[in-house]
Amino acid sequence: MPTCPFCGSADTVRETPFGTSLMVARHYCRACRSFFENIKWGDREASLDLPGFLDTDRDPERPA
Amino acid sequence: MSDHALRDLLIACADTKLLLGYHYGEWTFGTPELEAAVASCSLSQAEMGHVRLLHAILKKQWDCDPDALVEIRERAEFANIAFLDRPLADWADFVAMNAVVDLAVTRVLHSLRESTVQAIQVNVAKMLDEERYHAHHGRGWFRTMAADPAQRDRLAAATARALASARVWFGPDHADLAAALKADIDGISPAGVAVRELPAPDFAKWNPVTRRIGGGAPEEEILYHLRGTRNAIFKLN
Repeated sequence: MPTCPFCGSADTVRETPFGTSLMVARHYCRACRSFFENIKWGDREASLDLPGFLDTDRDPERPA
Repeated sequence: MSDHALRDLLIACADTKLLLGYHYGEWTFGTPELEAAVASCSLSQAEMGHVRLLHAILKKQWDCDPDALVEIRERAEFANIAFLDRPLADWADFVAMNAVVDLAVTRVLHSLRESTVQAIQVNVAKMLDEERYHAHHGRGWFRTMAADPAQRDRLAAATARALASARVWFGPDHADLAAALKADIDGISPAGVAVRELPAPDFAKWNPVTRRIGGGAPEEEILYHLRGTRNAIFKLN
């Protein structure tokens, strides 16, 4: 489960598989009692499937 | 790069994004899955937004009239990647457009990210941020189709056509971009799709403004829809 974007707690549950659009799911944080949405592609940007030049972590030409 | 060459290159990027926006938008109602329909609609909006950003730069730096770039030009003046001239035949064409053609423009924008023109630098950074998601979507579908023997050949054919079309658009001085784009695609699915080697284009008759060999233009009907010709009298001023 994703951590809460408001308080950072990991005590969250998935409420619905779809939110305001198909690409997000709705979650509830039991710690701060907030609802939030999460993009279903993955919890971390690092999970994006990208060619090297667009991957800011791997781009060898990236300016320092 | 000369000042005029840079201007023409940005117009070519804007033209390609305009056509990408059209096809993504049209395919909002043609995707094989509901999520892809929502994605296609969002991809379309992003591309149209990028057209506005590019047109704003062209207006500021070169005093190009954005309306004239879309509404008044001759069809044959459009400098988009030729793959987008006609309606897409099927979903394989769409995925080749998403994974290859869209990425080709992104490759060019990426090469401009350290431009001394500040408006270019700032806006390109924003566009590249968004294009990461376009690439992610295209590559995901590419992998899925490459894994299916029934779809693989059709995808390979569409991909070869998209790569050849981008190769011409990059022009005679940018075989490096074409090779990098081919490597980007090979990197998705090395074993899945056998994409034919690119035939070397004959650049003797290459037009540096339209970035085409021997003419070509978007179909009349595509521009008719893009320009909203039928609804011209309802336009808000």
